[in-house]
Amino acid sequence: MRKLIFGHNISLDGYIDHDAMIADEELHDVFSELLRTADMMLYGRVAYNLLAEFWPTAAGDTSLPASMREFAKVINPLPKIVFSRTMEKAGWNTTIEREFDPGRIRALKMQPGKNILLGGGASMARTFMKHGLIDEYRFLVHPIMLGQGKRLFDDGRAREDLELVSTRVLVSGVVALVFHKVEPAGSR
Amino acid sequence: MRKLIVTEFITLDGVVEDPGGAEGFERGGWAFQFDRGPEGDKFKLDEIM
Repeated sequence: MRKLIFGHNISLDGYIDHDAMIADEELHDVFSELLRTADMMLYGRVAYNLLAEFWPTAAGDTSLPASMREFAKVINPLPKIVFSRTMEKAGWNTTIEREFDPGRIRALKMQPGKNILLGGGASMARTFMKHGLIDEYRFLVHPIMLGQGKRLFDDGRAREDLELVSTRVLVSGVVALVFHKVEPAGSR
Repeated sequence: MRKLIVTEFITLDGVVEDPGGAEGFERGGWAFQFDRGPEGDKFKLDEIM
């Protein structure tokens, strides 16, 4: 079965506002590397629109650093699904799904293929967490106490135990943490 | 000048309540369900030395 991976930047105090983060070349390289392991990306509408208005033209923009152009080359051709009840059409190799259906996501995971990457945003990620659909978390923890913004974790979720798979410290002080989901005893 | 240092047990999602399980929080006691091993013990010891 292929893995569903949620990968995201997050401040030390749990916020995921993208423009507050340290977006240096190494960070883009880390995400390019992750995207190369996947052949499907999933997004909520808001997160999707942020990316879709920037990356499609970034690959050929020579004013951008090489790492960003490379990221654009990797993300642009990837098949994407955006969950939205209101979007009418989408380019950027994207299919629109009107309803979130956990059964459909489970079926997608059973199909042969590379990893499925959940890109965001916060409410989409929480929905996936709530339904236990995420097999691997990749948190890029930024050395920032943001203080306010969009929180990833809300209160009142079920407890989830994780296994730490790897850690990597980037030059910027960002710590890349990889966790696998641990199935609670008795659930298998 | 001396530094003022904060040291906390904290979960990935930012909870610091009742790591040891003595405060009656229904999900308390989470910190000691993981064996931090000799290296972890040394880390905590070094903090106060």
